[in-house]
Amino acid sequence: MAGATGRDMRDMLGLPTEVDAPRPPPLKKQKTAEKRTAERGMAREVSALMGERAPPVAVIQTKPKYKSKSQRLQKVGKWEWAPFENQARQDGLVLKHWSKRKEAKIRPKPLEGTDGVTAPTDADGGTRTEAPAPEAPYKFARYNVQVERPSYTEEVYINHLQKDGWSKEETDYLMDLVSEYYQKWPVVHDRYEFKPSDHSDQPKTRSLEDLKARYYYVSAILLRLTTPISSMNTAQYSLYETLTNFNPAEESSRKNLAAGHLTRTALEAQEEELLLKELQRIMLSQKQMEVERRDIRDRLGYPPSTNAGIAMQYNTSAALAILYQNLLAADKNKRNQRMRHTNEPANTPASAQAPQPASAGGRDGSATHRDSLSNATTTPAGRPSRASLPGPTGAANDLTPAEKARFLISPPEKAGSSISFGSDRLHRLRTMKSTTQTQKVGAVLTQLNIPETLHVPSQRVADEFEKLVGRIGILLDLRKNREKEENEIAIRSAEKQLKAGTAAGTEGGEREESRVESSAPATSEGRRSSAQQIKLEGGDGGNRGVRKKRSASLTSETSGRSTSFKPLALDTTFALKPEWFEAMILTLAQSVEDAQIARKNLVFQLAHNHRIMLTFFALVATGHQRH
Amino acid sequence: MPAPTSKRIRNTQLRRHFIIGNESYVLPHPLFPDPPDGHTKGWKVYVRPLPNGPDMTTWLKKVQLKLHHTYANASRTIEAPGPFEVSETGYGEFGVEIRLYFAPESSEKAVYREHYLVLAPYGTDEQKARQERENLVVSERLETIEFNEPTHDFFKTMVSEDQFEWLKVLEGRGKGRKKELVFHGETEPTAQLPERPIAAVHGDSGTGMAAGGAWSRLYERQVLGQLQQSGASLDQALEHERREMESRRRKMEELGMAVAAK
Repeated sequence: MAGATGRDMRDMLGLPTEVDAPRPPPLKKQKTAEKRTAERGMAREVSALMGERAPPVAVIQTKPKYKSKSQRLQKVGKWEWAPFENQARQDGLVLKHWSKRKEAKIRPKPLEGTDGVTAPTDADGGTRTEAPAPEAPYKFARYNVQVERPSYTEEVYINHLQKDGWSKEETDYLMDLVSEYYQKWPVVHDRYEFKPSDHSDQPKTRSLEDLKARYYYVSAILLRLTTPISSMNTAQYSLYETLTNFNPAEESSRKNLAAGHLTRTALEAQEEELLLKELQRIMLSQKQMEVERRDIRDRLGYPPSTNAGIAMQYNTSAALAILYQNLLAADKNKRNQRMRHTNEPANTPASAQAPQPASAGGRDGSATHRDSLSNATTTPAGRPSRASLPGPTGAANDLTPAEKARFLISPPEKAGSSISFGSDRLHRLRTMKSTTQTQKVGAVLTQLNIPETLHVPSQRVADEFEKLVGRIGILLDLRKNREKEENEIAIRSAEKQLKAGTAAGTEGGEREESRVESSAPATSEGRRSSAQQIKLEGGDGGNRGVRKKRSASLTSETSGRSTSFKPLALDTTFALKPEWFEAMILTLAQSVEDAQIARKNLVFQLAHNHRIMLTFFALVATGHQRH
Repeated sequence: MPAPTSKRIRNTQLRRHFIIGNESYVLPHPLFPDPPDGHTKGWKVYVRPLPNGPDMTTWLKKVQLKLHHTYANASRTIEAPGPFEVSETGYGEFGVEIRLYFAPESSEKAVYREHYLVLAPYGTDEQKARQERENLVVSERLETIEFNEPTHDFFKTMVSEDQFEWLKVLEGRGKGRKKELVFHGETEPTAQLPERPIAAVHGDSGTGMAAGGAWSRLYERQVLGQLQQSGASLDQALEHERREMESRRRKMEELGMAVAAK
C-alpha cells in the first residue's frame, strides 16, 4: 500500500474530512519523490521498500552491455607439437616443441615424412599444410660458436711445442678445457685440476696467466708453422704478434694494480695525488737543476763532460767570433776600468802636445821637483809618469796619470750615482740577495779570519775583497752541489741494494739499510734525520711509524719547496719492510737525475699492497732491462 | 746668475781618503779639566784628513756631529776650516751620526756616516794592555769618499795644487826673496795613502796613530796580505771540494751503470 494518507487516517479515526483549504501547503512539496516512478529494471515494490528518496548512490543495474565480438583479422594459426634437431649437438637428441605450421595456398605434396612428422589436414579450406621442413636448421644452432682449437700431432708437439714445466698431457688437458669452455679464461682457470698420470708429481697450481701464456704460446707456434711469418697477411700477423707478446707477469701485475685501485681508500687516493704533484715538481725542477749543476761545473773550469758539452758549440770559427764579441761586451759592461787602459795613451799624447807656459818661476822649480818625485810614485796604470805640466786651464780630463794618481781620479764604478763610499762597497760585496746567503758568506768570512769591518777601504783592498767573495760564492755553490750529489749517490746505492735486496730477501734489505746509512755521511740534514728515524722506528715494524718517517723526511727534504703534508697515520697491517720504504723515500724525494726511475718509484708508492710491491719491483727491474 | 750645476765630467771619479774616529781617555786627564760627576771618560770624535793628504776643506765645508740625545746641544756643527772635532766627557758608548756637507761647487747633498764611539780598551790582550798603559783608546776608520761624475768647477778645485798648501810652511828662501810655501817633510803630499805611517805634521796629538799616521800603504798591504792569506785557505777549500766532486762524479757514473745494468 502506499503510505497511509491523511484521509485514510481520518477515516479510521472517524474524524470529519478535512476541508480542502489547508490542503494546498502539502501540495508544494515535491510529491514525485514519493511516487517514485518505477526505475528501470526495478519493481515498484522494491523501490517502495527503499523509501521516498533515492539513495545517494543509486545502485542501478543497467542493462548489461556485452562486448562486441572481436573481429578476427586472421584465421587462427595452427601450432603443432613438432620434434626438432639441434645441429649443434653431436648426439642427435630429438626434442619436441611447439612450432607454428606454415600455411600455403598451393602446396606441393609434402616431402616424405622422415621423422614421423604428421601432417594433419586442415579442417577448413582443405589446404595442405606441412610442418616446417625438417631440414631447416634449428635457429639457435648458429649461436654455437666454436673456438678454433689448435691441434697438433705428437711429432709437432715434440719438435716445436715443448716447454719446461708443461708436459704433453697437461697441454692437451689445457687445450681441451679451453675449447670446452670457449676460451672463457676465468672458467678455465677455475676448472683446471690437472692430475698428472705419474702421481709422483704434485698437481701444479697454475695461475690464469700461466694458462693463457701456454695457450698463446702453442697457438702462436702453430700459427707460425702453418703460415710462415713472411706470408702472413696483416690480420694474421697482428694476431701472431699479440700472441707472442703476451707477458704473464705484466698481466698479473696489471690486474693487481686494478684491484688495488678498486680497493683503495679515499685517504690513499689523496696521498697519491700529493705524491704525483710532488713528482711533477721534481720533474719541472729537474731541468733547472741540471742547468745549475752544469753551470757550477763550468765555473770551476771543470773538465768538460764526456758527452759533448758546452765546448762543442764553439767549434766553428763563426761561433768563436761571436763568443769573443759577447765576452768583450760583457767585460765592457762590467768594469770599464780594465778596458780604460787603452784610452790612456790617447789622453797622454794630447796632454803632452799642449804646451802650457809656466805661470810663475816658483812653479817651475816645484814642478820639476815634483816631476822627478812623481816619477817614483806608482800610477794606477803602472805606466811611467809623463813629465808634463797639467795646464791650469786645460780640459778637466787632460791630466797625466801621475796627476790622476795624486788626486785619485779614476773612472767611476757606477755611472750616475753622485757620492759613494769605499766602505760601502766593501759592505755591499758581503751582502747577497737573500739573508741566508749573506749569513753563509759571513760564516765563511769569519772562518777565514776576516773581520767584520776592513779598516782600509781602498781600491785595491776592495778589489781583492771582491775576488775573495766571488770565490766564496763558488765555494758555497760547490757545497750545495755536494750535498745534492751525495744524496743522489745515496739514492743510487740504495737502489742498487734494493734490487739486490729483493732477490736476497731480508738480509739484503738490512745490508742495504746499513750501506745507505754509511754511504751518505751525516753532513746533509735530511739524510741524518731519515737515518735517525730508521733507527728509531726499526723496532716498529708496523707501517705507521714508517709512514710517519716517510712523510717527515719528505718534509725535511722538501723544506726548500712549499709542500709539507702531514704524516698520515694509516693503520695498515701490511708487513712492509722499512728498508724498502726508506729506499723509496730517497728515490722519490731526491732522485732528479733519472726521471724514469723517479716515476717508476712513485708508482711503488701508489700500490700499497704487499703483493703489489713485489710485483712492482719486478716490473721496474724488467723495465730497466728494457729501457 | 751662474747655473747652479755646471756640467758634469763623465767617466770620472774623484776619491779622497779621510779618517773618522775617536779618542778616549780615562779621566782625570789634563785635556779635560773639571768633568761633571759620573763621567769616567773623556773623548774626542773627529773627522780628519790624511796627514799627508790634501786639504779636506776643498770638498768638505761643514760637519755636523750628532751626539747622544742626553747631551746638551746634541747636534754639534763645525764649519771649515776648524778641526772637525768634538770633545766631550761621558761614560757610555753610542753611535755618533756624522753628517758631511760638501762644497757648494760640487752641488752634492749631504751624506751621513755613522761612527761608534769606543771608550773601553778593545782588541787582543796586549793591545788592551797598551791602551790602558798609555791611557788612550783610539778607534779609527779610514774612509774613502768617491765623487762620481764631479762638476767641472769641483773638479778644478780638487786638482789644484792649493790643496797641499796647508802642509807647506812659509819659508823664506833667503834674503830679498818673497816668502813662499815650501813643503818640508819626507814624503811628497799626495792624495794617495802614504807609503809608511808618518808622524803628524803639525804634531798636535803626539802619537802618530792618533793623528792618522797609521794609515799607510804599509797597512794597506797588511790588510791585502791578510785577505790574500784568507784567499789561499779558501782556495784550498775549493780544491778540496773540487776533488771531492770529481770522486763523486766517478762514483755516480759507476753507480749509474750498475743501476742500469740490473
